[in-house]
Amino acid sequence: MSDADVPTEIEPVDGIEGVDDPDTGHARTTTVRRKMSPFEIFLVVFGVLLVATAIFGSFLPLPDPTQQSLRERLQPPVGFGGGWDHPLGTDALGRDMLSLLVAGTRLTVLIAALSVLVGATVGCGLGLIAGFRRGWVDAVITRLTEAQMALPFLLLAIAIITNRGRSITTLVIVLSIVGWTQYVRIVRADTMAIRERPFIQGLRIGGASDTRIVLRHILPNVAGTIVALATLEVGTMILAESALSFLGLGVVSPDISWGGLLADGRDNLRDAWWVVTLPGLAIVVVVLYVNLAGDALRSRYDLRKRDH
Amino acid sequence: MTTLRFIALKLGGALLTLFLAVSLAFFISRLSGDPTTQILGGLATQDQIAAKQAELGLDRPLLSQYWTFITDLLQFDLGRSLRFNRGNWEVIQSRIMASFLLAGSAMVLGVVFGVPLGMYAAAREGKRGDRIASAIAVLGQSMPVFWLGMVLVLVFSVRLGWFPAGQSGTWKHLVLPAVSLSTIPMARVTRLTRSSMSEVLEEPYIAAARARGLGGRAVMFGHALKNSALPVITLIGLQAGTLLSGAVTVEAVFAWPGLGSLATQAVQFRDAPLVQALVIVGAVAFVAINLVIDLLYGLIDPRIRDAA
Repeated sequence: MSDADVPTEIEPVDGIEGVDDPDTGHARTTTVRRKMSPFEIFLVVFGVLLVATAIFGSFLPLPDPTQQSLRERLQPPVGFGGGWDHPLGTDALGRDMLSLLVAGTRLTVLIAALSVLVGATVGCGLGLIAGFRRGWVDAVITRLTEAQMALPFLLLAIAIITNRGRSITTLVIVLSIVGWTQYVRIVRADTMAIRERPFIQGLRIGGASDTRIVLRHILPNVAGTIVALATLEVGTMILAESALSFLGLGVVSPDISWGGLLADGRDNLRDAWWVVTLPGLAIVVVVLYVNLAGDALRSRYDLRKRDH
Repeated sequence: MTTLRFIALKLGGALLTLFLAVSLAFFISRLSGDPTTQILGGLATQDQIAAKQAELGLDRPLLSQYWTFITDLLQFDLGRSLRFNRGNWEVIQSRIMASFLLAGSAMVLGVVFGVPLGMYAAAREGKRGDRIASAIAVLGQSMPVFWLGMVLVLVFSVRLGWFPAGQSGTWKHLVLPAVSLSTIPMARVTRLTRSSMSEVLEEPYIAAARARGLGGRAVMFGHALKNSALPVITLIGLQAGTLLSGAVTVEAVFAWPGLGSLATQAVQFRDAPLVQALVIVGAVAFVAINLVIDLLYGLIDPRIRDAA
C-alpha cells in the first residue's frame, strides 16, 4: 500500500456525527466526517508527489544517476560555488546528487512500503486472533510479542544478515520481522473492546460465523487505527532501512537508497558537506511527512488519540 | 506477603519473557541461514564447509543445537568469538560500560529536555507554544540519529572545533554522540508527557487544587507532574531497546568503543557467535531494566501491586 492512497480514502463530505452505516446498520463511532483542512490537502498532494517521484523518477529530464565523471567530482551545489549543470552538486564519483536523490526515492519508498505491508498483515492477523479468541491463544501470542520486543531490533537484524548475507530481499524480511509487534498490541486491545459491544453479541445470536464476524465486522472497525499505525510505521521502516544501509548491511552500490548514499558520503564529510547533508534531509523530510500524516489520520480515526 | 508475592510474580514473568526472547533469537537466526557460507565465502569447497559446520556445531539437528544453546546459557556460557578468539562475554565486558555511559547520558538528556518541553506543551494546549514544542518532538522523531551525529560533527568539530569528532576518553568526547542519541528518547518523552499531562489536567483533583487557590506552577509541579509521571517512567524502560539499536549507528559514526561498534565489527567478520551473544546481552539488559521499573512501580504505588 502506498501512502498516497491512504488520505484519499477520506471523503470530504459534510456529515452528522453518529449516522448509521447503511451497510451494516451499526453506528459509526470512530469517524467524524468533516471537510479536509488545507493542511490535510497539503499532506495528500505531498504523498502523491512522493509516490510519483518513486515510480516515474527515472523519466525526469535529469542526468543518469549512475554516470560517473571524475573530473566533476565533489562539486558544490548552486549558491555554494557550483553551477547549474549539477544543481545539488556531485558526489565523490562525480555522480549528480539530484539524480541520485530522485533515484534513491524508489528503493527507499518501496522497501519501507513492502515491509510495512508484510509486518501489518502478520501483526494484524495475530492481533485479531489474540483479541478475539482470548484464553491460551492470546497468552501465547502476547508472550511472543513481548519476547520479540525485548530483542533490540538492529542487533537482531545484524544477526540475521550475518547468517544470510546482505540482499534487498533479506532487508525486507528483516524489517518485517521487526515491525509486526506494534500491530499486535494495538489491534488486540481494540478487538477485545469491540467484541464485547452489543452488535457483536447480536451477530453471534444471529448465527454469524467467527470468521465472518472478525473479517466483516471487527476488522472494518479497527481499520482506521491500523491505517494510522501503518503510516507511522512507514517512517520507522525508512529510518531502520537507512540505519542498516549506513552500516553497509542494507542497500549498497550500485543500488541506490538514501541510507546507502549516506554511507557513500561519509568518507567525504569533511570536504563536502552536501554529500551527507542532502540525503539525510531527504530522509528527514519524508519521515516527517509520514509522521504528520500518521498523526492526522490518527486524530481523524482514533478518538483516544493515544501515543503508540 | 503481598509484596513478596508481587516481586516473585514479576520476576517469574521477566524470566519467562527472557527465555522466550533468547529462544526466538536462536530460531530466527538459525532459520535465516547458515553462517558458514558467509564466513568462508563463495569459493569454499564442500569439505571446508562441512568442517566449519562441525566446528561451530551447525551439523547437528536443530533441536540438539538448541538444547546445547540453552544449557550453555544457564551456565552463563555465551560461546567464543571467531574474530577475537576469546570468550564472547570477555569481549562484551570490555565494551559494555562505554555503551551504558552513552545510552545512560542520552536517556538523561532526553528526560531533562523532554519532560519540561512536554509540560510546557500541555500547559499551553492548542496554543502556539504547544505547536512549537510538538513540532520539535516530531522533528526529533523523524531524524536518523547517525545523520544528526554527522551533521553535529560537521558543525561542532570540523567548523567550530569545539568537540572532538570521535573516539572516547574525556567528557568532551561524550557530548556529540550523547546529544545525537538523545533525540530518540527526547521526542518520545515530550510527546508522552504532553498527552499524559493534558489528561491529568482534566482530572477533578486538579480543578479542586485550582479552586483552593493554588497557582499554575504549584498545580503543574505539585499535582500534575507526579500523577503523569508513571507512563513516562514506563516509556523509559521500553526505550532501552530502541536506544541500544540507535547506539549501533551512533557508535559507528563516532568510533565510540561500545557494544554497537562491536556489533558492526562482528558482522564485518561474519562472527556469528559474537553477534548472537550481543543479541542475548541486549535482551537481558532490556528485560532487567523493565523488571526494575515494574518493581519500583509496585513498591511506590500499592494500587499496582494489588492488581498483580
